[in-house]
Amino acid sequence: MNTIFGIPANILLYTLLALSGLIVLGVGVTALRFPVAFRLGIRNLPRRKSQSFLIISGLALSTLIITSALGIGDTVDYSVKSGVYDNLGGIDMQIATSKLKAQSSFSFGSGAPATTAADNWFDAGVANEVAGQVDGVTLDASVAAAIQTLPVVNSQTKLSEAAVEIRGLGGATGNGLPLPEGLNSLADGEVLVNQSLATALDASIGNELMIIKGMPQTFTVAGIVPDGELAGSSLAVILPLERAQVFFGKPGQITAVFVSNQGDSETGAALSDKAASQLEPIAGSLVVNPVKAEQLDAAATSAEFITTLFVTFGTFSIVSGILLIFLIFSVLAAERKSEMGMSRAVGLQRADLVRQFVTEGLAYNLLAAALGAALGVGAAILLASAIASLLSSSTLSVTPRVSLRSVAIGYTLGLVISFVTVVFSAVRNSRVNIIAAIRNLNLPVPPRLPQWTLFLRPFTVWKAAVQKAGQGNYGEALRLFLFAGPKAVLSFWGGLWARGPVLLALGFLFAWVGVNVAKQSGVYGLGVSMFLIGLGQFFQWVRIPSRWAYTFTGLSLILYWSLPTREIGKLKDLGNNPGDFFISGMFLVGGAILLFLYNADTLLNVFAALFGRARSLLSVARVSVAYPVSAKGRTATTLAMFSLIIFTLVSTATITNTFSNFLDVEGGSGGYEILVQTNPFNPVSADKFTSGIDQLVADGKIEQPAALASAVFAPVKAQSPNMTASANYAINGADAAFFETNNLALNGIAKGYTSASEVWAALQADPTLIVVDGFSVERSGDPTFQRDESAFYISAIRASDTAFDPLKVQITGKDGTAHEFTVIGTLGSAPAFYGALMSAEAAKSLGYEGANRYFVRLESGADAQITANAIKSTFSTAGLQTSLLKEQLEKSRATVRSVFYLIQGFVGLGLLIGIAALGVITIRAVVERRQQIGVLRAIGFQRGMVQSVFLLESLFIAGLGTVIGYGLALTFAYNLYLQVAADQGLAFLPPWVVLAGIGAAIFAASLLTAWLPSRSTSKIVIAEALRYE
Amino acid sequence: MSTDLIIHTQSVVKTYNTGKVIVPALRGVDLDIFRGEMVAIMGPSGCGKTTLLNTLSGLDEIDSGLIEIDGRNLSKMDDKTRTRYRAENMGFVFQFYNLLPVLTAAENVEMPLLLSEKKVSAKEARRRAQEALEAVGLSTQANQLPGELSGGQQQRVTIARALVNAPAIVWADEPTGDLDSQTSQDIMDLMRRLNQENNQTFVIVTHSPEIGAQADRIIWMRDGRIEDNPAAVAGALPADLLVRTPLDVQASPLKLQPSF
Repeated sequence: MNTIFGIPANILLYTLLALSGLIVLGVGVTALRFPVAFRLGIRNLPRRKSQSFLIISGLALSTLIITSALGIGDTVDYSVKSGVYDNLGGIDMQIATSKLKAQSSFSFGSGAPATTAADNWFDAGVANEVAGQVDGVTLDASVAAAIQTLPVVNSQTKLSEAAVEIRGLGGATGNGLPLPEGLNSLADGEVLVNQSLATALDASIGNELMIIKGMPQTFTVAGIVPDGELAGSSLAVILPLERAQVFFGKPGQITAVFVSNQGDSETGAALSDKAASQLEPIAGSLVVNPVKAEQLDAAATSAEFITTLFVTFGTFSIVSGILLIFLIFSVLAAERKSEMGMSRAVGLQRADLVRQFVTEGLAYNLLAAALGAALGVGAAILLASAIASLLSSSTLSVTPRVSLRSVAIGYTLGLVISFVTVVFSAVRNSRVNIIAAIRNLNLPVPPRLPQWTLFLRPFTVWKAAVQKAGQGNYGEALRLFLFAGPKAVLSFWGGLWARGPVLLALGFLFAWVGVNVAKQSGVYGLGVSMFLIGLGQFFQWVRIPSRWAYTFTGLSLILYWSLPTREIGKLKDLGNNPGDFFISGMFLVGGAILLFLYNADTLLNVFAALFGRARSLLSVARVSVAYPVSAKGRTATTLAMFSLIIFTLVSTATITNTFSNFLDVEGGSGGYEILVQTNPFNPVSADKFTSGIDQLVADGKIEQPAALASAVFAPVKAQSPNMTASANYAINGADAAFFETNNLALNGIAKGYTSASEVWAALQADPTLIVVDGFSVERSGDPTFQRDESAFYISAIRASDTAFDPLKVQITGKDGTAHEFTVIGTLGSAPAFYGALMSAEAAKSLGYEGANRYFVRLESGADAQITANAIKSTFSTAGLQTSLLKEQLEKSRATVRSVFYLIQGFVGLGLLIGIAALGVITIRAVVERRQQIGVLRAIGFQRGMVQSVFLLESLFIAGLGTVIGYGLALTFAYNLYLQVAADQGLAFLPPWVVLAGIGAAIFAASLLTAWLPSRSTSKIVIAEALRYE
Repeated sequence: MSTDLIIHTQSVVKTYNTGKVIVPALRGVDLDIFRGEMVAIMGPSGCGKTTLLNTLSGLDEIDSGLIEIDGRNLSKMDDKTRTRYRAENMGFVFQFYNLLPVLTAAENVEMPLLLSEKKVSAKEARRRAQEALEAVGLSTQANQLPGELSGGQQQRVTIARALVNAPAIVWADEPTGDLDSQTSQDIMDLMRRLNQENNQTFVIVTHSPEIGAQADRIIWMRDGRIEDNPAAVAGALPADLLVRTPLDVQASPLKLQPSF
């Protein structure tokens, strides 16, 4: 991976290393200069071993999540790149008639199928000119090739393959591209096969292969060569170029020139730009494809995409991890309050307390980051292996691999994040009133100075500075001017920040920038949220009770982020990115926590009222709820952790379950189980195909299909009004049966038409009307879609438009003339129907006729695989290819779901943070309330009741977090569904069983976490507890 | 005050074993306290006053001996029975109030009623808590949290909590130890009034001679034993206590012996 979070990986690494170095150095210097504070900090580590272990485990989780997300990206990157090097070997460039699409084999996002030019042959003279450029400086080899795909049958084993590359290879110029061994010594009628084909056909040397191009021709296998480089990575027969040209009937013509750049298979790609500029003048109208560089880029893009996906979902856990660190150190500070007071009393400065905490924190962080990085590597390997087993294809071998760089980034990032949080906590915790700390009193917070006073203060300071200067006290004047003045200015701005105006202004600015400059809904939403928070602060400033002010803010944040308010007017056109999910989750949960904080007493009363009827429960319930409600900060932090993680888990599960139906099997396959494609060299007419099917039915080999339809598929050039030149596209000229039987789902319908059946009838009747596929319309905002820039596309129609104005486009016919067509519909996700769907008559007007695709629908219960095999076998000499359309879509859906299950598992790691947080506060609560436990026992609480108080308390927090998380996640997911999927006929499908399972797991884990420390309460001796302070 | 025996102990022994040292806290305590009595337990620090109170009230176990409360052998009860017995028959007042900081005054006071076996409804519990708070002069502070009350007010809430269940015995461990002298006197007046009105037994552990002087009887302790000769105890008392100790109080064990 070259970038992480959009930052070049090496820059990120060096920055983090430098920061980590500074941190360690800083603490080292502190240790030397302030040995007392350092010793006090370090000695706290072994004081409570189990607590230290819990702290280190909690701190390790952020590093674990970061490292594992990066590790998954590394695995993808490494695996795909290895595949590219193995497949292409020394080939860096390929000259062809069209742009070759570099698609990563590790992609599970949607993307248009590769497009091809109508005719891929060109004059072999180009190869000679390229050979003349091989200079040993930029280019070190070139090879001319003629490659076509044909069916091949092994006469001995009777095994056949419908799509085998017949690779004719010319003599190599230079040393960088060695020809397959034995090629030059092949006798007439002899061929080589690559290892893949030998395996597929069970072929051995001496076997006879029939290559079918019209009439079958027989060749003898003279040798088997390894896959890769010139031997190809898919099934291939290899023979000398001249013989291939004769065989294809294309003397003097080729389909590709392979070029190797100077350097080995890994370094050559770096010279791609230079090589391209050298080759382009020779290539003329041909395209110089830097195939290796592009495939390596595609690999990096895939790796970055998958890393982004995991990091985005993991961000919630990372934030929760930060909150956990904050909570841990707040709890430590609370525990040592009186100790800190004593330390201050005997002469330690506030800065010494900060140093003490920071030293202790760094020691925890260094250990935790190491543990997290090690566990992260393990998690990455596990997750990558699981993904590999889900996505592996024959062309890709996935090797789990985590680079040292990722481990270093994970370690240092975890260290820096933890350290910053620790410093923040330390500074906050060090603000102790000595007496209050020693006596464990809670002193009221002094009121903030009026803003007017804060405004005047800098002037007062500057005036004093001038007076001092006037008195000749320049040192004091300078101190006032340089330090006290700026401090007073900062206080003024701090007051404005706390009272709302700063956030109001910033919120307005962000919202404006979001709409008018960035055009991103995330930036706009951030602005709106800041504005709402600022408004709450402002209300409080103008003496509206804080309960009302922040209840308003909390409610409006929840409403803004959970209701489809962003669909109004200009806001509809704003773009989205994966980070928006994070922003919305943070503010939704933040809003809910604000509601809790300012209405906790009401919640307590509700609980008391609920349990008031059951007297026996009242005492336990009241105490168990009263504690978390009274420790608002601690409870809110834990709640935020829990809610954030549950929000992510539940919304991910709900969204993926609902949206996995986007891959609408019926609508995407047109309702056909089997797609049959003929070989261009061995056409099978519609009559021949139908009679073949009839024969199979008559022989009892297959059941009578429910429907048969055909189409002529052809690559074409097309242009929409938004394009400056025509680009690669395709057409599907379908017969009447297709229009009568297909169940394709239409995403959008042009105005003037009311239903899909009306659109299909219009297409059949009017040869100037077409329906375009869903990949060729505007899909900005869909992060899973990668557009092929060289392909045809329409910007005036969006994939989400259910109705649009009919649009005219130009399609170039076989004779080179442009024909005008009107787009009256757009398809949903149906990869098999890429191109413009039109009637056979319309295709004929473009010069294309004769079906080369057949669609078979089976009666329910009929076996698609058996039927497809029977069709292949009947037409084996024609080399028909069959695809199981529905099965492929179902597999894709299952794969996408499985990957999302893995992401859910990954997000679930964050739950450990929430559970750890519960553990921390329960352990702390047991210690902190030892004396109160004594009182409870003294006044009549049985041991079990005291234990129940702690269990109920954890369940209360977990339950409240679960309610908030589930409520917000389901609302958020439903809102997203309403915006994106509802009008496409999809149902809102929360996976209730999975959600119930998640809930049950959370409750079980929460109970267990609380149960372990709460057990110790039964061992507490009342008399001792009462003396405890 | 009656001559009805409510607390009777015989040869009570309690030893603390810290693992490294064994500390004998009670070395055979024999004691009788009568219903309605207000008794002060006094003695130097570490003499076993609080341990005695804890063992008598069932908050702590004893190693050997006999403790009978109202004729029932406390040391033979299991933890569950003893806890229930404590909830219904005893009230506690501690030096640092030991209220539950997260519950309001009324909620703190009604807690023993909710724990009682006497089937008091939540509504009835609240009514009685309100009455108890009224009795200690805090009816208007019922909905305030302990942190919002002064030390004296908190101790009154503790007393209301101790008395709400109309317990036979109220145990008070340094009830005025954290209060100024005027508030201490107010608290003592309140306890004395409730003691007289309800005929409840008060056992008060205190260092304060002024507090001790207001009890019906002072039980002197030294080195884990009841000391019959207060002068011997006085020798072990800290100098500052002796300086502050009025002569009549030193003589109080004799003067205030109950007349049974």
